Amino acid sequence: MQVNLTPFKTADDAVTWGRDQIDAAAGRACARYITIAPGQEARYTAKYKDACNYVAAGYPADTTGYPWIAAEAQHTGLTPQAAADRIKQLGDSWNNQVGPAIEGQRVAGKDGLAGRTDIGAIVSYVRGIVKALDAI
Amino acid sequence: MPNINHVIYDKATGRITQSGIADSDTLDAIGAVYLQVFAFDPTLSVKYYVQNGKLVPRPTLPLTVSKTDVLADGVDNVTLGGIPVGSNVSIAGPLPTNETADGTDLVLTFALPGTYTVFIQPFPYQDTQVVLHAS
Repeated sequence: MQVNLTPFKTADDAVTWGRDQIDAAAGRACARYITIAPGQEARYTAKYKDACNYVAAGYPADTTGYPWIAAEAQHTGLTPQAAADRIKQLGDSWNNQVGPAIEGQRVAGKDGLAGRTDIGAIVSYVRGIVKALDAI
Repeated sequence: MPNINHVIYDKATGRITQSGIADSDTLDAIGAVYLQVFAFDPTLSVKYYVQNGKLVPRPTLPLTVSKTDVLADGVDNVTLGGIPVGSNVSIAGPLPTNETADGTDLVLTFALPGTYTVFIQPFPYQDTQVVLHAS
């Protein structure tokens, strides 16, 4: 006799759980690369824009028009160039590689839940997606 | 009559239901099915039962366990073999449940990680338990 120990009464319950698990795993993955705090997203966006503009302008000595670069350089002791390069490098990595990888895995993972009707298979599938996100 | 050490048991199965000290007149008066024993021991029912008017050791269940570490993915499974039909099987852990064995191998899958303890009551075999780790 087989006994499947599961908290799900229906496959739909398992799918709902699966979506939450995938979203949570994607959130954890993001938190490994970016700070999650009120207003942080706005700060990242603003300083990345500043950094890109500063680099494109050829690292001018006058940082008046680049308040985020100027402030980060002042408080960290880095030169404005080093501060801008660091901000841009991290931003590029997030925007071009890590962020898309996490989001692609998250969306595809949730899309893949559609049509599944076996609770055991749903749980197994979700565990695989979560494992993949945990590895990013 | 002097007090006697005794066990009271189910006449049909021999399962000991009570251990105590009382005089035999009282036990007869209440219609108890009992057996005199050498010493009072409240744990006798764990390892003995009554067969043909004698205390007989409860045998050890020849339980087979395929493994104790299993993936909590709803697919990987643990197989417990040798559980007699009618045995009560209760599982403690993140997803507790109670089942009655049907005499075939018991196959368990787990959707949530954690430590699960499987308690098996296969009278007249001795009760036994297995600890499983789902991760």
